[in-house]
Amino acid sequence: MSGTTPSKSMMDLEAFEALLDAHGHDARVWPDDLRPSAERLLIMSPEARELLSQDTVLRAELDHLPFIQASGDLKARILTAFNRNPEMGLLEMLWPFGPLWRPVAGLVAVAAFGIYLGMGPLNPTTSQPEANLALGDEIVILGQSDGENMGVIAFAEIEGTE
Amino acid sequence: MSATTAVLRLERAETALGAETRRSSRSVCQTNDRDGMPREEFDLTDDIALIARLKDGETAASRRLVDMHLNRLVSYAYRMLNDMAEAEDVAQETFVRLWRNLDSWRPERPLLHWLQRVTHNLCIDRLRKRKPVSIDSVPDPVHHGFSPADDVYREELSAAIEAAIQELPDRQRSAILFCHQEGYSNIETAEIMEISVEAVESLLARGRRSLRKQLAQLRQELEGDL
Repeated sequence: MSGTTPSKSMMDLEAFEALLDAHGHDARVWPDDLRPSAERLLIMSPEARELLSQDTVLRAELDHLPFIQASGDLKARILTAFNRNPEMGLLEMLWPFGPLWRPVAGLVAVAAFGIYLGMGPLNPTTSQPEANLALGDEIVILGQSDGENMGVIAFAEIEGTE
Repeated sequence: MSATTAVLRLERAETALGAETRRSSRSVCQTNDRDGMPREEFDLTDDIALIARLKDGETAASRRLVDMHLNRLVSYAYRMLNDMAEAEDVAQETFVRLWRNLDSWRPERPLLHWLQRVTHNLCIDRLRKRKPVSIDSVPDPVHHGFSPADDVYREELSAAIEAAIQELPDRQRSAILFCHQEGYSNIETAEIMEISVEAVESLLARGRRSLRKQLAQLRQELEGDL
């Protein structure tokens, strides 16, 4: 290891920290050629002992990092994906977010609402009497522009149908 | 979901599921000498049987697999991404990929390693797309005011370490999580991360040093409060 001194001398703090980084706080797993000088440093240096203490605490905490509980909803989604996989491979690839009926139902609902708006009572061109008059006016104007008496005839025809 | 809410959902490692899954991982992966060769050998009997049942469409097998590994995948993804919704998306995507690729799985490495590699790669992909990360997105340690009581000190310490892990560079964080949260050897970690063992050692050393400095700083703060 770089920065280390011969085993008979005392290791410096930087080398000791590198030793901790590489091998941890357990002196039993330290390399044989470094252990004696590291142990001498530990006896002499409170800073080294503090480093060792920090490493011990840190590794204990890291080794006991808790697992996070996944939501039940996530588990259900994953299992649903498995159940659908054999028969719906292609659809699953196209829509991997859950049951396919939901987006389909959404599209159908939107389409139905659009048709309703287009044909229903809210459409002024199909539901209001004024709409027929407006249409009649347009035909009269067109008829008048075409030649003599055409507009009168067209207007009379419209009136006759009402 | 906020980080605080997610932290509230943490379960200590001693809970039945956590302890069980951690033990099962270690029993599957039989580690040889820490620095040693030859390569590790794995007992894949359970994995092979499980995959065969999954190929037959057995929902019980899928439930068992999800029960065994979901929390650990979510935990890894959450600590990598610091976002619970994204972590759950990644875990779901990992399992969906497995469902789609059951036929192509080869019994060379433990199934869990495959799952963790996919999770790791998905996290790295998301982190790359997300860069640069605002410093504001890194959670501060949760300070409730210091009390000399041990449990409060431990709570403070755990929160500080969780926050410090989030601040590590991505690859250092991965190495630390695989080595400590999952209990893998450097060789296994290298295999999952698809890098050399030397690179793992370097990442671990830098990551631990950085975390130790954070810990030292926290200790000074706590002692200053006394």
